Amino acid sequence: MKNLSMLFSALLLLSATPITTFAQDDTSNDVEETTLMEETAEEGSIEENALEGGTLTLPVQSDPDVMNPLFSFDSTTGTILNSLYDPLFDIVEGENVYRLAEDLQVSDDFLTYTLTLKEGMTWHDGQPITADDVVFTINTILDEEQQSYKRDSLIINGEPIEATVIDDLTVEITLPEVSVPFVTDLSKVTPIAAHVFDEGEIIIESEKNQDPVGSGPFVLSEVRSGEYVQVNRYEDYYGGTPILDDIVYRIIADPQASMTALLNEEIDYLSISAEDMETFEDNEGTEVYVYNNNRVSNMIFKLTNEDLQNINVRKAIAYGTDRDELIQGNYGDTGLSEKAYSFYPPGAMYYTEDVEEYEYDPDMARQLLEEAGYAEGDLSLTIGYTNANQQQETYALIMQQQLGEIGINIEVVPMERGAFVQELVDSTSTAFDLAYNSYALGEEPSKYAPLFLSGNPNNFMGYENETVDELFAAGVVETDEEARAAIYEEIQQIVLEDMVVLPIDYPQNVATVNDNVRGFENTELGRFFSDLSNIYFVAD
Amino acid sequence: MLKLITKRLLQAIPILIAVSIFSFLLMWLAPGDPSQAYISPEMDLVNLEQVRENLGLNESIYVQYFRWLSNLFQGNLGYSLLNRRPVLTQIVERLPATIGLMGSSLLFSLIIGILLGIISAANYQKTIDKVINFICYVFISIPSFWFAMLLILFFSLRLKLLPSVGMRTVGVNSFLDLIQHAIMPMIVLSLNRIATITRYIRSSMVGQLNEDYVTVALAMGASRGEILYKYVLKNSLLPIITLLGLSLPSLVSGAFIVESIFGWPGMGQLGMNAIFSFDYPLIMATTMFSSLMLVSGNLIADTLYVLVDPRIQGAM
Repeated sequence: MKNLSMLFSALLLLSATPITTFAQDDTSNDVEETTLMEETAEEGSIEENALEGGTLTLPVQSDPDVMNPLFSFDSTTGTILNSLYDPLFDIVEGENVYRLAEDLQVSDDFLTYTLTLKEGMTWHDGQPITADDVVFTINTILDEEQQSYKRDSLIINGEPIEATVIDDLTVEITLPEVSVPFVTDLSKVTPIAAHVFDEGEIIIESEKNQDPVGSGPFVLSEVRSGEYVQVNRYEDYYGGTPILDDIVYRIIADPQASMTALLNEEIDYLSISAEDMETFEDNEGTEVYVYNNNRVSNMIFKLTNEDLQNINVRKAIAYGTDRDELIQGNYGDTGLSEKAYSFYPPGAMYYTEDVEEYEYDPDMARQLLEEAGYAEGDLSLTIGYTNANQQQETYALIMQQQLGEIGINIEVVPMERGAFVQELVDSTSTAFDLAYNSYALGEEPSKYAPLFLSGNPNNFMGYENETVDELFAAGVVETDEEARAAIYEEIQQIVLEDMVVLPIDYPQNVATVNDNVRGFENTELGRFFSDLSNIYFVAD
Repeated sequence: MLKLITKRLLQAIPILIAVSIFSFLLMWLAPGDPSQAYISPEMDLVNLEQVRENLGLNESIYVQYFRWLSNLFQGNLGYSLLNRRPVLTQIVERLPATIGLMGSSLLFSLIIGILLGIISAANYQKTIDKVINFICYVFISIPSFWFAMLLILFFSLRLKLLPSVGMRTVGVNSFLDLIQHAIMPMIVLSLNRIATITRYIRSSMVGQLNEDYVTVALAMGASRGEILYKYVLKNSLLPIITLLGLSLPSLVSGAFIVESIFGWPGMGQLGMNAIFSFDYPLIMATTMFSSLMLVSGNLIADTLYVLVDPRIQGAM
């Protein structure tokens, strides 16, 4: 099937050059031929042949889940909600980029946060956005009955935070104790409109989520199950009227179908794999963009395996793995991925390369195995991965060979995704010994803690190290910048020294976009369309 | 007649219950559960235990099954675990797309199939019969996903004549637009059926042509054409009733692969998404719906049979 789909991709590209030019009902061409007004061009970055209006068509994989930022969980819904709701602020390279909020002040004791909202903002139904909405949102998240998965992030050491209205535009938030990552948690609180929901209503089950009243640059206009979600621009958007008329999120589940749709100009954007990058680079009418969202891919050691409980065995595997070759195998010379040394991405705060690097050293690997008491061929292990994930498969097959060279027999265990994830998240599982995993958890280093804390359901290895637990706890309350850096650097050193996870690489993301779309080149946060209000089309 | 229908309806109840138990078990035995939707590289780490608790997944399978069953008897198919919308609403939203596509494909295949079948039988063993036979074998053997891709390559990407995905152009609400979107999936879905219908009609007509009454009619001076259309064709249409009865469930269950390739917003896509995301209530609802249609399809076919050919009632 994989070969077939590769053949199909090749065929697709071959036939991408049209013989005749048939005028499609392509909504993206539905643009007024007027130049943009001066005020929209205030940043001076808008091109001269920019067009006002038009419809941007983006693919999503499925119908949205709960269309409410407090309860949605999949990336499709996240993408759509991004146009409907704005957060209070984003954090970009450690700096607050204010959206609904105008300012955030922190008291000297780090226990009181004063949040000020911008003036004159309105919800999509015209009601003002006020401090009441922020407090309502925080209280909804905190209410256990409401089942928001964000609840944990607003509970600090077992105690909830407390939000009070000071005036129409000011909210005071009191923390039960110091929590430095709280700013990050607050940045992920996207306010919902208090006046929309009834008192005591279980919001996750509310029909009102079908007709969301948001704060973002676009207003929901139509949802057709299995077909598309359409949003129109919100004229009264506080950040200035968006340039586009509307955005259509086309629901296309099949990856091949979305590729065809892009080539047939039925959609304007598609996230593609590194493998397809070259083909699209030569394609007329589309541009390829590479962006980074702080993703880390790694291999974890399941400590349920007795052999892997021996640290020298784990280190031998690390030394016996040539990551350059793994990256070469998947990305060739595209430069789309960089070798990883830490489990933090370079974009995370306090990332350090001052850790044991485990550069490829098969002799060292053999020696470590010998010290651990294994003769060549004594040790047999399994590597698990998702069968549909080609990159993981490439890693597994190359590693099978590499580790074979140092005398470890590797059996690869490709599994259906559901089955794989079930075994991966179960730290007591013995379905496989080594497994590939990846995550993109952003800049705040404490957000990675669940991966390593003893007994945490996200610690798939079954790793237990009291010092690491204590250091992660200390990092949350440490307000001194330098001391905090020291804590997280130490954590990286210990975890790498313990070698329970082998960081492999930092993959970049690749997207291909119709070449008449502008305004997203300098993407932030790895979210490709982080500010949709400034996306526009240019004349051919 | 009424007795027969009542009897068959009563028989359907244990069948449906058995199907529901079996589907529920299969679902429960399959590795993974809906909480997996909360695990993805782009997501913040969440407390999976809490998610499972909220979704009611920590309860035993018996509790889950009987809760589902008792809700069903109260006419409540439940709410999707993903978007929390009523399952019934979602099915109703998707039905028109599926019925439209499958219905037009069925109609199209009936017309073409019967036509080809008649031509084939009337020219039994002649060149044209052999050509039609050959075409039928090709139609039956072509894998639908492969043929779908070829059509897309040719008509969408090369000729730029037809849209490759979806059911309509956003903002355009015309019948022509709908036809443009539907034509390729409809053809792909029809090929197999055309071949089957052609073969049925052909063999049934050839069989009838060997019957005594045909010889008698010929001896009495009836023309060949008259015999073919007046008597033989009428008698040959009987097996088509069974075929149609069996096609009824596909009218509402849709086609997983074709709907997926063409991004058609039908029941097949809904069911497939439900399965991939472990959306239990939605999986159960789509499965039960298809089973119900299969049972009723059979019942309708049998009833029609009796109506058309009263001799059969005694046998049932």
